Amino acid sequence: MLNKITAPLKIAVASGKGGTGKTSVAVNMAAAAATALSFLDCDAEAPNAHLFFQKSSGFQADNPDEFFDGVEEFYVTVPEFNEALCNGCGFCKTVCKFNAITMILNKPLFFSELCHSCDACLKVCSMGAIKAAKKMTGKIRRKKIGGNIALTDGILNVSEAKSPPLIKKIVKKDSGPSLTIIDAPPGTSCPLVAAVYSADYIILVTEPTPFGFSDLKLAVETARQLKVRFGVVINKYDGDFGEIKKYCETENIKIIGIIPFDIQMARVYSGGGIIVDEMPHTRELFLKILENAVSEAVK
Amino acid sequence: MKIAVTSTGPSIDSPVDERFGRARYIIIYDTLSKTFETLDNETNLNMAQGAGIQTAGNMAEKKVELILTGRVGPKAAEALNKAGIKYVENASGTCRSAIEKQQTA
Repeated sequence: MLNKITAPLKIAVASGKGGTGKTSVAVNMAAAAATALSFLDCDAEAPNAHLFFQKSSGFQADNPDEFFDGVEEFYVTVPEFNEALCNGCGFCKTVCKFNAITMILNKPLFFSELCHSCDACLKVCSMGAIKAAKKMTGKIRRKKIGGNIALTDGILNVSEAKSPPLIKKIVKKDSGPSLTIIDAPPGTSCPLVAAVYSADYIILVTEPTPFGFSDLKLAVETARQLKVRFGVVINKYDGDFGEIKKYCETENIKIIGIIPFDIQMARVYSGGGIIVDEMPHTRELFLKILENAVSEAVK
Repeated sequence: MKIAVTSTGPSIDSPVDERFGRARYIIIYDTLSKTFETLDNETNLNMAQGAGIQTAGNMAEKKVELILTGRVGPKAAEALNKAGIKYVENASGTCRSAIEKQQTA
């Protein structure tokens, strides 16, 4: 059914809690799909999907960038102040909603790490003392994996705090003509929203722990506010924690897959391997999750 | 000389607030007139980000020369340095006792 997708269709994989298995589910669905797709690793603070594709393609190098076919630098706009032209009016400070500018002795003092590139200061300065400058905050890396998968990931520079502009650009530019799988960052704040807001469907991966369950509820709230349809995958399921199933039933949320707790899967994962390749009997399981998500998305 | 102390309350006898940017109040004591004024810092306290640098900006505007507080963050420290305002960390007790301690020191 997957090769019948002819229009763009974005399936995002998210979780709330980190470590529930977003990347495992996303990578293994992609590997099981056997159809042309785009894979966007939007966990720009710590992208790791490429590690799994890297191992399966036998690549080894010290610089991970070498694995990719192309690396593009990513820039945001930040203001540059010319103190000689500044008359100290402080209007730039007043309009900055992010407190990135303060006035010290009638001169602006700017903190680029707080700047959200909104350009407000650039627009209000009547002295022409502020001009637009570019700041490189990360990289976008692309690689064709095998015949089918077009991998894109974003990687934020160390100490950079804001991943949403980078994530938005990847989702906008690199979503494919048919199926796109988005590996979203953890949490339920701006980076997550940037990765999933335009998705057709979100797979919320959870695990049967109180923490996994608690964050699932936050992720559900977020998806509902964004008005994106979603379903739940319970990973590492050992049958001991009944609350997630009960909750999904009460909230009328579809469970589109259950992945059993399996020490062998954990071994393959921690060795950087692709589970569906090294444990072929699991291929059907991951394919089914993707197919369920796609059929829910196009409903 | 104006000395500012971050304070948990509006009075000079309130305990010191250990936070600089997100201090609830700031007591500004004038060593010449021996009077103080209270600055309500609630706006900065509730800021999502950048509380320290904005509070530092206010201190520069008030022509404060010395700040007594618990700890100053790195960005606030940069702003205070630029403004030429000195600060002493690890202040404790009431604002009054912190000022007295500083003056005898």
